[in-house]
Amino acid sequence: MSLRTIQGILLGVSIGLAVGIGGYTFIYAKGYSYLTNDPAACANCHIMSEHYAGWVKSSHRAVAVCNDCHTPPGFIAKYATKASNGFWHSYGFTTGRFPEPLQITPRNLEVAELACRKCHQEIVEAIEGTHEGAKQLSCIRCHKSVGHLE
Amino acid sequence: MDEKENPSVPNGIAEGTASRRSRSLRLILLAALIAIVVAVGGVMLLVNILERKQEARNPFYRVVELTDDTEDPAVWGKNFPMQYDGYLRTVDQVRTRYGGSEAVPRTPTQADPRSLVTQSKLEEDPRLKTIWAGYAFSKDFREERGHAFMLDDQTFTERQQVAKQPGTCLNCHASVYVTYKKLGNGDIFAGFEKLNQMPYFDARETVTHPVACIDCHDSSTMQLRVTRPAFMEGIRALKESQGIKDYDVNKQATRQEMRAYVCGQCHDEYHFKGSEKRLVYPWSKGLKVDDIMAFYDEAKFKDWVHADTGAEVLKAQHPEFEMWNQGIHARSGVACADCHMPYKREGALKISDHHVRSLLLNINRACRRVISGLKKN
Repeated sequence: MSLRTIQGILLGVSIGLAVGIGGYTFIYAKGYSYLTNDPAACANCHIMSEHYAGWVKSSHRAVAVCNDCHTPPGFIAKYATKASNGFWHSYGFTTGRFPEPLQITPRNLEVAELACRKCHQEIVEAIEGTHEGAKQLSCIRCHKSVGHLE
Repeated sequence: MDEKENPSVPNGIAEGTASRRSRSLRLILLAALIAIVVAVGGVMLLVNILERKQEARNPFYRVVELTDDTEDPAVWGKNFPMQYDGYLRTVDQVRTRYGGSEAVPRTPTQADPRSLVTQSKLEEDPRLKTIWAGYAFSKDFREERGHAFMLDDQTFTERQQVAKQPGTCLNCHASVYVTYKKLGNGDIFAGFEKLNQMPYFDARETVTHPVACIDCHDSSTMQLRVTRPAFMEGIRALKESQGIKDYDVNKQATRQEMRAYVCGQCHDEYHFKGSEKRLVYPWSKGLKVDDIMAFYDEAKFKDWVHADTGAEVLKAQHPEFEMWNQGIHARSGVACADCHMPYKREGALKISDHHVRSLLLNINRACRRVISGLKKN
């Protein structure tokens, strides 16, 4: 058997192992579910169980899923946000290095605040920006239970 | 795969092939090394995901059947070991900068077998002896300590020797729900009235545990519930003063309200009404000190007559529920349990810490989850 053949076999075995283990991990961890809009996917990791349970009982359960409030509009922006959050959440959950209690990041807070206005813009127009130099009002500071209380 | 495999190759060519081969060998080794790292990483991730999935499975195991008559917290603890573990830790005595209880050794006697007590407040501030002259508290008053001691500390306090106490005291110093049911043949209000009228040490025979799981939890659903008739009546009177008729705390309170009400069953100002020594919370005019004063003035009630001055005196007992109600935390919907029993994570479970204690001993969980959130907003 020539060296080249041996190299080829080894390369093939390595790629096969990587794809096999990686693919199985992907399927076992329900990686494909993250490409859907299903809120249950967000609770694949048990750390989101309470949030998911809270959403099921919330006022928005029938009109908005996780992605409606936690990702910005637009295909690219949505998947970029999903990818970034997906990576850091997986990293945190796997290593166990994350702050407890969970804290929303400034960027994600902004996304959520904008999401309120996607639907409720007409209602809040009158109270927003009426005072010069005033900071933008926060919807969820008062309405924090509309999505999920926890 | 070295030179020995090809002895027939001429020297010059052999050298070239050998160097090419050793380079390939290094390449293969490097590739193998990378493959090892990737494979180990991949399998580690897989196993980690498996572990996390295992954590999420079976939030609790039901190993014993709990009924509405299961009083012993150790039995409940078999189903809820993490909560029970916290509950047991209320024996801890830790002093904080602003208070807390310190374990003070004492020599046990026949009458009082406790070998550890807390610091005497009468010794810390001797003026209390004069202020309370003629009242049993002037004889013995120590720093309060954890729930685990509530029954013993009441049974063995010197106040029992200088005054004859009624069974009413036990409403809040023991797990009495099952006792109520036994004394009242299933009716807790009847049991409550019977317990009140017994002399303390007769009533003491009917109870075994300090506050237990069943005093706050429904045995079948684990929902919070109020088991103390005095609180049910007190909160009904309070709600009536606010224009709400026939308030039933166990049906009308929200879950969040219950997280304060179950504590308010005992942590409040009270008096023993009339010769039947019925435990009554003075809330029918409101929870503020002036409202309570007006209630007592109307009822012509006094706690005792001062030995030195002859004045009729009231002593607020432990009005935590009333005081909490005046503050920003109550206004913001923050309940007792949010700070004294903050949520914590154990594996996949988020449980409330049943080690009820000072917030100052648990600041990160008790305060920071709310306060740091406020700052960001």
